[in-house]
Amino acid sequence: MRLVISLFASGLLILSADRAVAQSATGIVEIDGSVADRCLFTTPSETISVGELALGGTGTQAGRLDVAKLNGQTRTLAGWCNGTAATISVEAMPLINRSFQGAPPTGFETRINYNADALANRVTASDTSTTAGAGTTIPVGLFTGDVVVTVSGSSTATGGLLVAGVYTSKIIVTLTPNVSFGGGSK
Amino acid sequence: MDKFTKLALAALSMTLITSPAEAQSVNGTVDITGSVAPKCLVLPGAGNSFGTLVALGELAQADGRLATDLSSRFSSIGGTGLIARVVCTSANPTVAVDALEITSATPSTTGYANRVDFAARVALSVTPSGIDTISNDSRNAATGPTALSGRLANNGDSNIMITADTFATPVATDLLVAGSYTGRIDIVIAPGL
Repeated sequence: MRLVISLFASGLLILSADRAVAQSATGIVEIDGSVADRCLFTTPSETISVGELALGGTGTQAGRLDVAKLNGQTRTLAGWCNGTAATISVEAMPLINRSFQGAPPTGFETRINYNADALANRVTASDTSTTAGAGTTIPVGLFTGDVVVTVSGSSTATGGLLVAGVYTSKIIVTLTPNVSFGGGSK
Repeated sequence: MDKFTKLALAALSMTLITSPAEAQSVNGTVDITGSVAPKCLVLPGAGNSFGTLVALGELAQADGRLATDLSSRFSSIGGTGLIARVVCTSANPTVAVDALEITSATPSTTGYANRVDFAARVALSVTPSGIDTISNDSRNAATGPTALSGRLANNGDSNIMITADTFATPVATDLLVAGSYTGRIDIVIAPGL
């Protein structure tokens, strides 16, 4: 009689090597970066040349400031700010006679004051040249596009005659980025 | 009984005792089986994850638009963290790649962008030779799982390289809003059962 010894170790091996759940390998590349708060004028300057500032003719107003020359003058700058905390301010500097030195004689004027507005992103910053320094700084936020500068309310201190000479001034618009950093998330 | 008779009986007796029996064998059989689970692992260490953080820094160039060197910056900053060695026990592993756009929580408006899209590319060396590249654009859903053309190369060297390119804002002229930006590339290498 043939004696066959069969060892069913294979059954045990199958149990112990039972297929595990498939294991995957996962790669993750995290990317981060930042963008700094900035403002930039892409059209940084314009010029308002009004020519003769005094009224002509022979009437009682002759030789005095022609307010129509300045009032309503407008120029369009262009710029942007990329942060929500950005602000805008404007500083109007008086038109000063650069040809005449010293205080004007009584009845004469060497200084012309005016108001300046700067409209950007539907908000308007204003200043008057009667006081030194910029006007109130206001939030302008995130914007790109026009910064419209408008002159109004021109006047002299006493309504006197303008001293002959070259008058110059500046309107300075300042865009300030401030810091608006917030956390980004996917 | 005479002398000859006694000898004959003795001889017969010896013959009966020493006559060969019929041959009888026994056999032993050991059956052995086993299995190898389908799995993918990261070497060295047999882990299951790889990757790095790529801190790109300032994303905008001087004019406020998206920087144009982000692809090279991605590779140089990511460095060795962008390469890995992954092996799988199965013949045709699958790879899924999902590029998640780089975004900021800061809201954007017309002319601005708070989102940077890009293409992620994962190059995988396979045996006996060749490179399979699985790509995904962050504007699209994940790519794959896609079966590789062969087994992942197991030659002791890295067999995966991750790159990223074609970084872009939705509109090319968009200015980036200030803020922190984050994005991600997810890669899943599965045994492909």
